[in-house]
Amino acid sequence: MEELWYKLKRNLARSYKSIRFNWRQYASFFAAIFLMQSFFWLILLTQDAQAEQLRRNAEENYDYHVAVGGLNQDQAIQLQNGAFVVFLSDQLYEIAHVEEQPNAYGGKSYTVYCRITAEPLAQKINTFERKYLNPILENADSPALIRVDYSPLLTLGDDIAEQRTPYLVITAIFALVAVLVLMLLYNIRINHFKFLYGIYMSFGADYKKLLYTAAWELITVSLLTLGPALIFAALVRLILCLTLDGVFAISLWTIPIVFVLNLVVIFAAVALPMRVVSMNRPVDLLAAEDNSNLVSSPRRSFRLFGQRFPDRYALCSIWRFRTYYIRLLCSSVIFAAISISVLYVGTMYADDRDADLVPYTIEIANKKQTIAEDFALSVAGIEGVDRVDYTYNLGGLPSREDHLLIPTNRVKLNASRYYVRNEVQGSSSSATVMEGYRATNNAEYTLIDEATIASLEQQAAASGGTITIEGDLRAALTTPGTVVVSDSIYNAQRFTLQPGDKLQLALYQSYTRKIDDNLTREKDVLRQQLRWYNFDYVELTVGAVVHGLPSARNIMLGMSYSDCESILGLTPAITRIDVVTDPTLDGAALANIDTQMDALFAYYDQYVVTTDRVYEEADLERRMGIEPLLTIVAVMVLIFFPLVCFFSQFLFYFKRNKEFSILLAIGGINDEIHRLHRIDGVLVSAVNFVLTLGLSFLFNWLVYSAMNTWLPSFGIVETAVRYQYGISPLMLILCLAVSVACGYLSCEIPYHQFIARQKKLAAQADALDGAH
Amino acid sequence: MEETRIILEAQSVIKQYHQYDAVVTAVNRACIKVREGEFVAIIGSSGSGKSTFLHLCAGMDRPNAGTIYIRGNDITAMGADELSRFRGNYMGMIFQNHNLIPQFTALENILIPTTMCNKPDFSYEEHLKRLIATLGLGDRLHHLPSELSGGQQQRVAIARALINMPQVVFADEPTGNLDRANADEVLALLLEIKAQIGQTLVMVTHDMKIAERADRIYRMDNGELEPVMR
Repeated sequence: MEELWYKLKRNLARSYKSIRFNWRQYASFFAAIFLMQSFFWLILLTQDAQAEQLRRNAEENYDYHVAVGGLNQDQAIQLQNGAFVVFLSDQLYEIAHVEEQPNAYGGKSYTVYCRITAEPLAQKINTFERKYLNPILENADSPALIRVDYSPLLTLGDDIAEQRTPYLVITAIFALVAVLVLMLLYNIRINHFKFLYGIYMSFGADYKKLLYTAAWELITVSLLTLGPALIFAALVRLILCLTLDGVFAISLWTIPIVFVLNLVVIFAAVALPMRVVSMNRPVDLLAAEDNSNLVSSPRRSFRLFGQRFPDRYALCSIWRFRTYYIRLLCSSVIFAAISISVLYVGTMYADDRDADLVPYTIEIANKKQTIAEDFALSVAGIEGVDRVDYTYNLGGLPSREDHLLIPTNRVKLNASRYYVRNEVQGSSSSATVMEGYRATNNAEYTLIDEATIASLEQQAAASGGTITIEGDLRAALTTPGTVVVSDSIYNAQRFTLQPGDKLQLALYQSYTRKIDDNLTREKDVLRQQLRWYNFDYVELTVGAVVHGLPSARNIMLGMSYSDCESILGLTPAITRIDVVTDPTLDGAALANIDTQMDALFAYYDQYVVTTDRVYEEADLERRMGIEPLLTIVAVMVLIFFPLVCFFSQFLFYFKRNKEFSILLAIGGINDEIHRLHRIDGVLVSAVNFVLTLGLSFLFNWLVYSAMNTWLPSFGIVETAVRYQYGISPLMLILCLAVSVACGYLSCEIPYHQFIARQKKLAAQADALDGAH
Repeated sequence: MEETRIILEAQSVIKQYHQYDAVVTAVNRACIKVREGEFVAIIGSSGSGKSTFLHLCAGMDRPNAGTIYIRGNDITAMGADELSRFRGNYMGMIFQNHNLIPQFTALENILIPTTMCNKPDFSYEEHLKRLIATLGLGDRLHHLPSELSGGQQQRVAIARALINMPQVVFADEPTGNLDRANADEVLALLLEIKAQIGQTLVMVTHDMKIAERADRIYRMDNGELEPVMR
């Protein structure tokens, strides 16, 4: 232990000394590690605050653990009686309060709110269910009508654990970015200090020694920045808390976690560069004392239009070091692009949070029945409800073994996963009809009525241009055989359908051979269906196309009530209602909707409602200030740009000082040296500008496609939410300005440093002359 | 000479470089045997391949063919890490242009091998004092290389090469950048320390006057190594 402590002290002292005397070399590491730690602190402090907010919300807003609703008087009394015991020590739960609502039969429906009083909660809730709740459910006429709602007070531990997951993912992603940044910086350092490592290796340094030397240096830097980074992050968090009415909290675990993350990132960042260095021969490293290791091809130039390029010394220098410049520009500009993407993620996050909320989903208790229209209308009429989305009993095409034929010229290339060509048709009817068509069963029947049309129009109006309607939606109501279709699967347009297009709906009739039950891919199933099934074909005319409709794996195939009956042989009926409300509703308005819904359910007494605490989640997210936090992170990431750029360029030009001195010695003048720097600066700025612009749009598109299409299509995100593609003009201008400024100044400033150094040397020489 | 064991043995060592489309053979089937405590000089004109051969023998570079044994260990078969550790423990290197780290003081430069080989702080104290005294560096220890003269810089480089008490010291034209007086002084110091500690010294030089003080002389000509009869 004593030896370990001695070694620790010795290594720290050595690294500290090395850093202190060469602080200019480490300045960029100080900044990078400070930013990295600040982010780790910020993310973990936000997570601590969210856990604390969850705890407070649960304790302040709920006085019960479980609410049992939809009970009749006997059941309510039975549950209340369970709470009364002779000895207090035997008590499992107590009654927090009881609510009663009138029902359609002149009676009353009760909701009993119970608070579990015994510990541990997780175990005792099971006892509660077994001894008190299950007997009521077993003896009830319609158990599905009894609603059991567990409050956040009961699920607090799980909720806190669940909210950690996204933070863990973000931390992991940022840790990777931090590794990348530190690795870049360390590679720059290695590139410029290969000679140093050559000496180390000449005198016995192996990989382990090189790794530990590098790691100890960065650990020392990180120990010096750990405190300031915590203060900075805590201040940011406090400001966010004060402005957004949130809470501030810090868990004791946060400190060791950040420290360990810090160590992991540092070791990961230096491990690979040092491995590469250790594989080098010392003689090669020693030879790289100047910038010669960065020269791409000193002898070569290129010819264009009969002229030889580059023809000037200044241009020649940038051509000689082209690989160095390309690496530098790509590695620094990437941070501008990441920064813009982080900001875009913040916008997506806000869009997601502020989208219409669905706090209630209603289904009928008896699955064989459908929801009565008057009940549906009553729900839609509740004050505060924005709109209701109905799900009908029509289902998807695969459920009826039907499919849709879409004209080949209306199928986009990116739809290849969702259609089948006519290569395998077997039945004569398929063979004839499929000429010029592609078959798909990625479609869902939808009823088009006035309510659906109103809902679609409302969504289009609120989408800000993402959703557009081409054609006449009401044509489906007035002209038989006319349909309304959407054209997106997983939020990407797959078909270029237009009003007036003719589609063939293949309705399953019979089969000549059963298809293989083991097939899992819908396309394979469809192939066999085409081969061995017989279909009736109905020609449909596209009346209207809804572009940009948020979509999962199916397009919409909307028909009128009469077409559903005549073509599909089905009478449309509602099976589910999603109650959509405005996300800006306040607590009173919500409570009012809740009361009216309770009254309605008690009255109708046959519907099951699933409640989702979406308002609480949205409020929590708003208080956490994730969006402003992401803006701060975007700016922090952008700071890496000048860090990488200036660090590399200053070292690069410092090692070229000898070259400039020689130029001056053989008759060059300062203006010529300055022009060389200026030309470098203008070229680097120009390339930076183009790269920043290109990479920013590319990165944003990648993020957009990932969130909008790829993640939902791979099932990583459950529901498809349609995001708007965009790039923040302000941030883009800022990034472009930073990239141009960095490009130019990273070449201009070294010139002034060179001149200052020359003047200092001249002054020293003058002083010596004076002394003599 | 008393029969002593062979500390360095190179067998048919070949080193080639690709220069654009041409292949340059810097060392062509060079063979050498050096006994413990010997002082061997390798002479030759500029570009004859003598420094390359020295770097190969010191494990600073890898040959294309052939084997090199130091203390009976085949260093051409060693991995990068093993070779580094071996070099640190058993070999010392003196470069023509000193190769001192500019941002380190003289003392820090001298102590680099002890740090790289994880030597305990006090294990080399006596030896360090003796080296400093012999080399006359006592009052220049806390100066940066840029504040030292060429001769002083080379003396720091010698101290650095010897601080770990290596069994073989490779010197690549250690007096090449020095004037005659300084060159003689540095060589005298080197031989004095060699006499004290008894290391093997393999030196590359183009100065016949220095080479004549060696036990044996080899000549490198167009990559081919031949002993010089005296």
